[in-house]
Amino acid sequence: MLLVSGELKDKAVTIDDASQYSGERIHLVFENSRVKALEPATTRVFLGGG
Amino acid sequence: MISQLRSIAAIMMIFASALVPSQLAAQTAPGVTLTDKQQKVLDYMLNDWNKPSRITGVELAMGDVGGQYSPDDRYAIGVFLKNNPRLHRTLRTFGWETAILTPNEKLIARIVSRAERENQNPPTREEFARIVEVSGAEVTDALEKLDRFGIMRRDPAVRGLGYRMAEDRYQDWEGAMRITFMNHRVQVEGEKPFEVY
Repeated sequence: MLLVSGELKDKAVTIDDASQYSGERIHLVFENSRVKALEPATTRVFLGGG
Repeated sequence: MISQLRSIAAIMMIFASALVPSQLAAQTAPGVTLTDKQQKVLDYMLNDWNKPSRITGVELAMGDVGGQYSPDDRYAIGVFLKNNPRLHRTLRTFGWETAILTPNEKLIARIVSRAERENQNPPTREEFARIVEVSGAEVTDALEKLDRFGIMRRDPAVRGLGYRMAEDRYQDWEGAMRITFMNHRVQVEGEKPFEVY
């Protein structure tokens, strides 16, 4: 997420991951640091901060 | 006296030359060499790891480099990485496993290790196919690859799956700087995909 909000903040970025707990696939699409699409819809995205 | 000194010098030189190969051997994989195309993938990975947060694995690197690569190519590069931790700080920090496994293999290993830690039965192959969203054949293939790398091993006593983690350290792999079975794949529009930690 640090990459998306920093180095890649002006880019269209797709991230494929999986839940640490259930193993369920996670698919995220960002544009200009903002979430454009995410699956599953219940995914919570933390973009950094204190 | 001079001939005696020459003899001692000759003995010392032979002794020293015998030591040099053994020191070099400690830094490279004994008996394992890479083909030119495998070396190309390794070079790509080492270059990738020099970039911030990067840890692109073998499978993705083979795709990024292009050309035809087989599972045996991945195995050869994997063994080479396992045997040569001095190649890069990333290997020494995170371990060879995370660089050689595919996302599906990591996911299966992660779920099995967690089940074993919690004294639960791991998912069956059919359940894994659903969880990982792949075919049953791909689950079997992933288990065989994990077995080949010595990370999981066959155990008929494990009902429904027939495999368990090969070592205790693969059950208790989580913690600071431990990303053994984690995978984060990134695709920036117009660029080659990469993986990060």
